[in-house]
Amino acid sequence: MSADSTNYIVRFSVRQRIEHIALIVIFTALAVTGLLQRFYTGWFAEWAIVRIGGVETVRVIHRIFGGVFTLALFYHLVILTHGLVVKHSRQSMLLTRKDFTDVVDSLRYALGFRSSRPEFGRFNYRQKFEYWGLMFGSVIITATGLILMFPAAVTTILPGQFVAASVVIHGWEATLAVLTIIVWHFYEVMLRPDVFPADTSIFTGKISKQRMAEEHSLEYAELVGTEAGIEHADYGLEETQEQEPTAEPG
Amino acid sequence: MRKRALVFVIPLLLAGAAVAASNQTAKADAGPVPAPTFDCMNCHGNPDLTMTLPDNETTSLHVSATMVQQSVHGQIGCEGCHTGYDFPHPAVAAQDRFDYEKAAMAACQKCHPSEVAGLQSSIHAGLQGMGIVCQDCHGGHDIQPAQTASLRATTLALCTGCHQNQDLMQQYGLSSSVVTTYLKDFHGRTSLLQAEDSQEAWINEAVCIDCHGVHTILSVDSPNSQVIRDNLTTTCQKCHQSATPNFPSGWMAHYAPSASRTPVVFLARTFYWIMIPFTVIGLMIHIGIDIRHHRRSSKAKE
Repeated sequence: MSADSTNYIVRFSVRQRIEHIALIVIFTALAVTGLLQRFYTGWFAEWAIVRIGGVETVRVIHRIFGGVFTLALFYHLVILTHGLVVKHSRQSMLLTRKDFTDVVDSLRYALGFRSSRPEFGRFNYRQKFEYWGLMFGSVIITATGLILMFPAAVTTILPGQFVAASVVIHGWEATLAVLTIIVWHFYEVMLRPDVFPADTSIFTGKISKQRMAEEHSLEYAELVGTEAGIEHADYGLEETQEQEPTAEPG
Repeated sequence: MRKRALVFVIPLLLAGAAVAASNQTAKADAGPVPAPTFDCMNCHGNPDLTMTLPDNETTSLHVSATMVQQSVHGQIGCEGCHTGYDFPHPAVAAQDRFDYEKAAMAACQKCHPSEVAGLQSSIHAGLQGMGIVCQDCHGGHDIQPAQTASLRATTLALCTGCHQNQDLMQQYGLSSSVVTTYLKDFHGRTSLLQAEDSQEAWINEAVCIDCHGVHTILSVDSPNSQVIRDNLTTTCQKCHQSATPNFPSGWMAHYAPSASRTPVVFLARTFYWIMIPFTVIGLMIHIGIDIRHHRRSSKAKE
């Protein structure tokens, strides 16, 4: 990460940006082909399945992308482990006690019961909870998906009821995931007034210093303190203060 | 007998009616024969030809020659099935249509003895005052080859004709929700979608007959039934070759999830029924508070 005299900071590495784009493609393909099978009685499902090329084609596409998703999840877990064990990189996604108090404090602030907004580090509670929701959801949906793909092998070890339960879990977990993306993620990264029409930092990797200072003030302070020197810190903080009124309640 | 009428699915309506009565001279051609030859079609080609049975049910005796010719039996001619009909026809002994159709099964038996014997040994043969006859599933004059994809695709509709009928099923102490539960489970879901895709493609998912059997369907209480627990693994292995004794309980056996029968499934479903509204409504509230705050602060700024 660099904080030079330009007005932005590189927030996401090329690897992370590619991972996100890959996730969009895989998630969309799986959601479309999966939900059509999950909610198969809807008129739309019949219409769409016929146009995709029949339920067999839909199933094949779903399974191929399911395999790719499993590999991507595995890759992500390898990267995490590597970061943790080899690189000893900072685990900025880990949930802390502060994230839970931040939820309450942010809502109290927004409702006018608190005068200052909580300050956030590299990832705020919204991003962290969404990330962990995605991670746990991915593990659940991958596990149940594999059970559904290999029911005979699975039942050599597990009772058959787990296959029946996997049908239920796989479908509802997917429904929950898609609803969360549509309701929350789309709001958070596109419709939210602060970023409307879109927060592009996950694609460009860049975030403006101004937004950095507003939304990730703790990380920004750390960054300008350690890397960029006092003058940059002043620049950033002044700018932050100028912008402050927008965030203050009436 | 009234109830029987419910059994009929559209193609079968035609069939049952048409098997009816009458034959004329011993002439083999089912097709229209040039006048003035006196043959079956001279009378049975008339769409208005009907017969009233002793129970006062009136049934059409019209036969479409084209339909017969396009059927799998198109080449065997009327008297291939309708034997013993001299002209004038002997009096009809049957009291009602079911009687009539049951007698007509003798024609099928001549060439398909094991199938008819199978049907007669099945649960469907001995039902009080009714039962299933060949024509109910295969049709009569429009009979199609039994191994076709399209007949397989209509299996569900055939069985549903009776098994989704609550009044009818109650008489036998059977559940009328077997179709719904089948359609909610994996086999039913996919086979329904496959049938919607195309009537010509072979449904490669289990349909009713794959588990329950075809002609020899037994009561689910019979020790020889393919679908009782003891025999189920073998039945599953017809498609899932590597199925083990644990495997069959992966199928919900036509039951909805319940705490006593399938606690894991029931718990999973309950969890999501709570979790999904909780999450989505919670997030919406958060968004609502966010937007309200943003509006107020931008107003204040002005």
